[in-house]
Amino acid sequence: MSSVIINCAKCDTRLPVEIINRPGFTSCPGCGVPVKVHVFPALYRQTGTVKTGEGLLTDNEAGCFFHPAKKAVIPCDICGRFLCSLCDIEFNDQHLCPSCLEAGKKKRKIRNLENNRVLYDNIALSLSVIPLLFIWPTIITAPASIYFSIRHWRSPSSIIPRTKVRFILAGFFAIIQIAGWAMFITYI
Amino acid sequence: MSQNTREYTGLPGRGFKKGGFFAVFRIRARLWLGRDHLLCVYNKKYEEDYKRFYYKDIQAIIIHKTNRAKVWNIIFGIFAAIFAVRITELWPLTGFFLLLMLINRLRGPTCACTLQTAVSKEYLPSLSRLRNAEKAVNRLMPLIEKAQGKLSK
Repeated sequence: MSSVIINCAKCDTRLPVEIINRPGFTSCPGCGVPVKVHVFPALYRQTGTVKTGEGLLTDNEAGCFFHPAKKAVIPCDICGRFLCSLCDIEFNDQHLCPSCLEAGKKKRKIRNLENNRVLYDNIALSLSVIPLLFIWPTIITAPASIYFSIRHWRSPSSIIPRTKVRFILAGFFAIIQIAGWAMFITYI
Repeated sequence: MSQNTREYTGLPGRGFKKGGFFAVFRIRARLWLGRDHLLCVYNKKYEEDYKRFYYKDIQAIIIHKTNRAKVWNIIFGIFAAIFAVRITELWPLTGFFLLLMLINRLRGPTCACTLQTAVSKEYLPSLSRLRNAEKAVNRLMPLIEKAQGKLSK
């Protein structure tokens, strides 16, 4: 454990090994702030060596699709192309080639590669609620809110569990506003 | 690759990430437990950003106590005292600040939680209360140990 490097999150002082994985808080030797450190085996793991791919030794061996001079070790789980150890990307318990990984990210087929999503339901709800403060913009924003609710009803929303209640509320408020405008125009 | 949205379970604690100086909305942060990773969700009102920390890659979780709760209680106390002594017509505000003090007190002491991997150190804004941080770590540790094994003494 002597080679463990854990620094205090506040003062960046290297913390002594004795305070690691203790049940209670211990003062940091640098700043004196009570600190608690949970350390896991990944900290002691050696960094892996870089894979370069083994070259073809005989003509009977299959070559990599991307590097024909390198020996194929595994097929891609999506497209079936033969891959050398250099091209083999292990992800989500699957072996993928770089092009399938790239395509999966672009087409949003691999969820664990997604790092951003637009919340259309929040946009629709804001379009139907915020312009109410100024009244007049609602003649445009209320239909826009309904359009957003219908257009993006099936669009991917948040990755975490989320209901459609914002879409429903947005539609409800927008319909009330449109009805209000219809009554106002007929009254005039 | 399935579209099952029930694969995450929420961890206790919600917090705010510091946005830019001109940020209109504060960025809300929350942690979710996945099958093989911890998901940190940053909600920016109209979009969400995600950061994933795979259980097999987490090296350490560092918690240190902070004085934020005490500082806020002092600020609330000063305002309550001002409205109680100097501006007695606005006495309901004294009650309001005392209520804020009570809520702050009941939420418990504050802390800052940092998660370390081989390539990054991520501050977790949602674990800003010690009680929530302890609960979250207690739920997280078995999953990390399942992925990495237990550390020998």
